[in-house]
Amino acid sequence: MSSENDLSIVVVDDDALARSIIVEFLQSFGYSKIKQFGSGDQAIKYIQDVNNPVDLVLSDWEMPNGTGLSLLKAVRCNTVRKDLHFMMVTSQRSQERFKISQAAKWRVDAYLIKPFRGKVLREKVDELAQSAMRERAKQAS
Amino acid sequence: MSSERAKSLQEIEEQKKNKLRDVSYNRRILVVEDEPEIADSYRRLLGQPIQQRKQRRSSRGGMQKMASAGSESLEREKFIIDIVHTAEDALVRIEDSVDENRPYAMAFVDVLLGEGKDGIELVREIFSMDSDINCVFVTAYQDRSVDSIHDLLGQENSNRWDYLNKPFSDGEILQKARSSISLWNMRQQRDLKQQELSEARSRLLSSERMVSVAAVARGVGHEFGNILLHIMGRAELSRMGEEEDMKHGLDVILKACETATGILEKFNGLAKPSEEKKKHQSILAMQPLNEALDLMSHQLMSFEVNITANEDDVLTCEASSHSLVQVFVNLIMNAMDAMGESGRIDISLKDDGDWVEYRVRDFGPGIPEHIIDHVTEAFFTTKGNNGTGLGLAICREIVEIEHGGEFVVKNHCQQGAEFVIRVPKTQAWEGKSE
Repeated sequence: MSSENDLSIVVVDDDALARSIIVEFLQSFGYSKIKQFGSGDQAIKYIQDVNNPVDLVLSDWEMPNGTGLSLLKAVRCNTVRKDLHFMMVTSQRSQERFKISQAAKWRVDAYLIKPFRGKVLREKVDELAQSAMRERAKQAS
Repeated sequence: MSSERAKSLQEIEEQKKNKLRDVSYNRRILVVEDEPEIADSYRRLLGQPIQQRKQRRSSRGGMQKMASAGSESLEREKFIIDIVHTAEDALVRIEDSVDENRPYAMAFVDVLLGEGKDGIELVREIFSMDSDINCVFVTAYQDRSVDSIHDLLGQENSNRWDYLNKPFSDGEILQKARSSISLWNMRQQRDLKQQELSEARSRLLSSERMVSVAAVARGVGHEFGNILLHIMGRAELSRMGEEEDMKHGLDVILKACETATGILEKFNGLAKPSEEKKKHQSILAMQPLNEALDLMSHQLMSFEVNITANEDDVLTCEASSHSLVQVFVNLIMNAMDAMGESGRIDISLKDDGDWVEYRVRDFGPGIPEHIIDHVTEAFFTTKGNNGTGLGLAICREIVEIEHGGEFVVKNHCQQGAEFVIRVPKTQAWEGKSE
């Protein structure tokens, strides 16, 4: 009945060019329900409104006006959204211990390191999407 | 096999010790005495005749011959003494010893040399040629007071001469020789240690400077991640799309390449500054601050930075732009560390008469009062293994020593720590540099 491509994805990155590249990649993979934001704060506002459909979040880490971490925390603290699939996109290869421990504490489902090839983005997103679909099915049954 | 190696190491150690004892400890004494009997007693006390020392290569022809004619070289146990009878010979000896890097540790100088030559004048000349030698005056008459000699030789030389009355006892001469020689060698040791220390210090400082370069590098790396994504992502998407998309894609890629080039240039400027940037010259006071903010822009992304500057387009100071950039990078890093993931940093620049005044204030917890006086000391750190404790020490050194300015650390009356940096508008205090 429903396919993975029906999933609603939120993309957050303060860099408009990077954001549009991610969105275009997702569209090329067949995902069409994509909402994009330039800051963590805007995304939080959107996600906290439980009427908005959200299945998967792809967020940059370092942004002015609400970092990826503050977004992740807001998601995990929201009773409705707490199990959302969350992918952190960062270009920090040498992730400081702090970041890793913080991200682990707040359950990041996947990491993506900039720059990346479309293939890698696709693998990670598809995996999370399938997992999201499984959970959706579980809840429905 | 290992014992063999141990033995050879021991031998090396032994050789080193011997080298120190035999070569670097200077026991050379010059005696300037015109009366033959007294010269004899020096000879008897301090040395025994040795075989003719091999003739030094004569670089100065006639002068050299003059010096060797009325002089002899003697050696006893520890002392190596040269005895000369006239002021002229003494000066030749001193000049040779300095030229050949075989300096005398001390000289005994008769105050009343023949032909009305004055031993004190001679010592003044010796001091001007050899900046390390110690001298002991020996006089039969108390014709010169110690104070008058002091006046003649000057305060700066007051610890380089001593005084002895004839007739002297054997013990007096021997002990004066020993203590003067030991003093000379201790000073050399001290200078050597100081030199080693300052070399080690400058190595340490330059490696610490690299720490701020590394911090900026992390930010640059991060920016490059985005830029490369612009390039890679756009290239890949363009290949998938229509032909007209490709032109747009190539434009994005070229723009990204330009951005990357700009970042690289800035970064190279910090890591390997041009001579121009290191030089003290008249710069816009705002420029090093802007440069530092620019370099840190990525790390500062989740921080609120407020800048207050009046007349920032005309306010200038004479400074090394590169050094001040280092200061601001350090202070901004420090402010960010004090606040964690995000926070607010207030930066101001103002004209204050002969000075320009920068303030960098964070809104963190401030510095505990009991350590505030120590935070600019080298190796003082509150960051455990995450800090070397040199960042603020370097800032202070750059501001106070390099620029003759002021560096003040305090807590803001409301919240957070505040750093006040005052740099003189002109470096006149230093004298005009080329």
